[in-house]
Amino acid sequence: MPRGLELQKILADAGWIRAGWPETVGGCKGSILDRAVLYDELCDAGLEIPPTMEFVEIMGPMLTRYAPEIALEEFPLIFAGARAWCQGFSEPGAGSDLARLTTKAVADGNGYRISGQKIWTTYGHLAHQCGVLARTGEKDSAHRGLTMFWVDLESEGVSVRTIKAASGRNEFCEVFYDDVYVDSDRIIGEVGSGWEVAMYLLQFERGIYAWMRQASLRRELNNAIKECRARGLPVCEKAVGSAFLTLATLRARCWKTLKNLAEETPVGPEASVDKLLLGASETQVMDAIAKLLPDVFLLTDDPGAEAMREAWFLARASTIYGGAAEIQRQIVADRLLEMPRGA
Amino acid sequence: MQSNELDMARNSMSEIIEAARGKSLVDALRKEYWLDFLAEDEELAVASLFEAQGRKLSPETGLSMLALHVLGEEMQDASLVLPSTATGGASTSGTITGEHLSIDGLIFASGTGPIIAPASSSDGVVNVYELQGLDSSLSHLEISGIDADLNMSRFRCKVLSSCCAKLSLDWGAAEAATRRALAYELVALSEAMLEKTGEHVRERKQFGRPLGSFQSVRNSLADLYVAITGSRDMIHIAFQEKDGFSAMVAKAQAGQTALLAARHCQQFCGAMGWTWEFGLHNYIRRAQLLDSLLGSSAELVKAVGNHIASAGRASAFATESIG
Repeated sequence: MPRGLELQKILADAGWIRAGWPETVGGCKGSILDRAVLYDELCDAGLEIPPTMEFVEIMGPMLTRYAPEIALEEFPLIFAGARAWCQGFSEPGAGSDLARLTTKAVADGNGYRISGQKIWTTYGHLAHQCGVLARTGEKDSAHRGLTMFWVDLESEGVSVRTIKAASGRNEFCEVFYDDVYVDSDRIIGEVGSGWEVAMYLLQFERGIYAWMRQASLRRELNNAIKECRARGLPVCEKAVGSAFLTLATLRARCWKTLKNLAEETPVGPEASVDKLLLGASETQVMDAIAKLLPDVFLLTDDPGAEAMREAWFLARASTIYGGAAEIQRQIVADRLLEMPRGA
Repeated sequence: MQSNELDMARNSMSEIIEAARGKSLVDALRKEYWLDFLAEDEELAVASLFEAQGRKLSPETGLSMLALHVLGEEMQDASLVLPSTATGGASTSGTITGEHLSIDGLIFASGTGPIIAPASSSDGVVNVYELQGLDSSLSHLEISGIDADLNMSRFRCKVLSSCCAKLSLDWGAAEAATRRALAYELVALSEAMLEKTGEHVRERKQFGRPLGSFQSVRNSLADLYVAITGSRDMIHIAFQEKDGFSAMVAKAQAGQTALLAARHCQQFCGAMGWTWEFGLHNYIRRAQLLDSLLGSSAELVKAVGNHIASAGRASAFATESIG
């Protein structure tokens, strides 16, 4: 993450990061498609997409649409490479079944007091601000009683504990909210509209985040092929061919979704197709890389090998985070295939 | 290509196919100016014809007609021996070894002109050869194979290289065009199988519930839907890119999808699907055969990997091609 911000700052200083964002928040016009092209070009030039930008892409459109004033404060800091965000949705008792979340927000004077526990908050220990989905309605109000808050993680009552992931990295966290006061002007959207706001955000997690990943995965696959050739190792054609097929399909799918997002056409259940293709691409590409360079993957002790193993494990999470692949298949079966509902 | 446009064109093609049953589909397509349609809108003409062929399980195919059209005007009446496999990405029905040219492939529509076949020489270079002074009936055997509903002949012969002439024709372009067409037909077969299976699992009940309400059935059919959607996107890209690599990717993808459809649908249609009467087997037979034509998905996936390995990197398809 500090490295993420460092890269973000380099991009910002070179003037690239503003492209494709609305002028009203300090961007220099264009659309999400311009941003997509930038990420593609970065990766094809062999450069990394700053991981902090993933959250800017996922959460930025939510801010510009539902909280323009917060966007106005936040984007200049993003463009200066001095700000990182995170997402506080999942809870110990509410993962794929998000509408069951129990973190409470109770009205108090000009604001709300938030209490509860969030988990799997990626970069929670490094981010400055968090979009927190909390219950402002009755206990049994399900998705109707939720509100999205923009919470400063420096606030009194917030404590963060990192969780060591299977990859070996501390990249996600538990975040505890103990009677944390949040002013009413930090509400994103309306009180009770949290579900709508979260669903709006999820479209971008399917569209642009998946697009960023296809660019990064292509870069990683190409690096592995290069390394393979440099070592004089044979390239496993079947693994590379299969990985490319899935990756090319993901790319085509995401570009179509991005065009819809650019025209503000709601994406709908078709976005689950993008999400499923992302999971398939992540696992196939990382498996292909492990197959191309087994010595590095299994038996080498250096930072490059460590990074490869981390990336391989991270790919395994792609069919779990943001709504598990099983949930996506359920959406496809219910809404696109109109199968009889499951038990 | 708009989806309503495709629906309309596919309906017209279905009518042509139905009317041509028992007669020549190629003649019918000529009479209906399909080649003009092809010149006007290549993707729409190919998608509508080949998807209709797949859905209708057409006994005849316009595949040779398309390949011959790409090879050139003067080849219109030839009998083309189409390759039933591919090695290393290039599909050929013949090989030249020493003094001999050996041919083994399929003829879908016999023409009045010469017999021609793509063949590779020992250095791997592929050219189209014309066989001369050969009585085609000698080596021409009508076969049923796995798909008795498709009219085809297996053509096998071994001749002296001196009995054939190398033609200056571009097989690569014809190969890419036929692969794109087969990809659309494979997608249509996959969709037909998915629809048939969808009907079955909505109606058939066990344990008091429709089969389609069980998670394992729903999940696998959802995966099939994703594969079909992805295959369509990829074929569209291949029509924009127009090169051999993208055609290989599209055919590999569509072939994989059709094999996945065959596997899942056969399973979920249960014992009913295993009967002759139910008719699922017709789609499965056609899918197996078309997957192998001009290179199976398994062969082509490897060829895609080989192409990337030789280039040293995977390049992304241009966003302009995605549509």
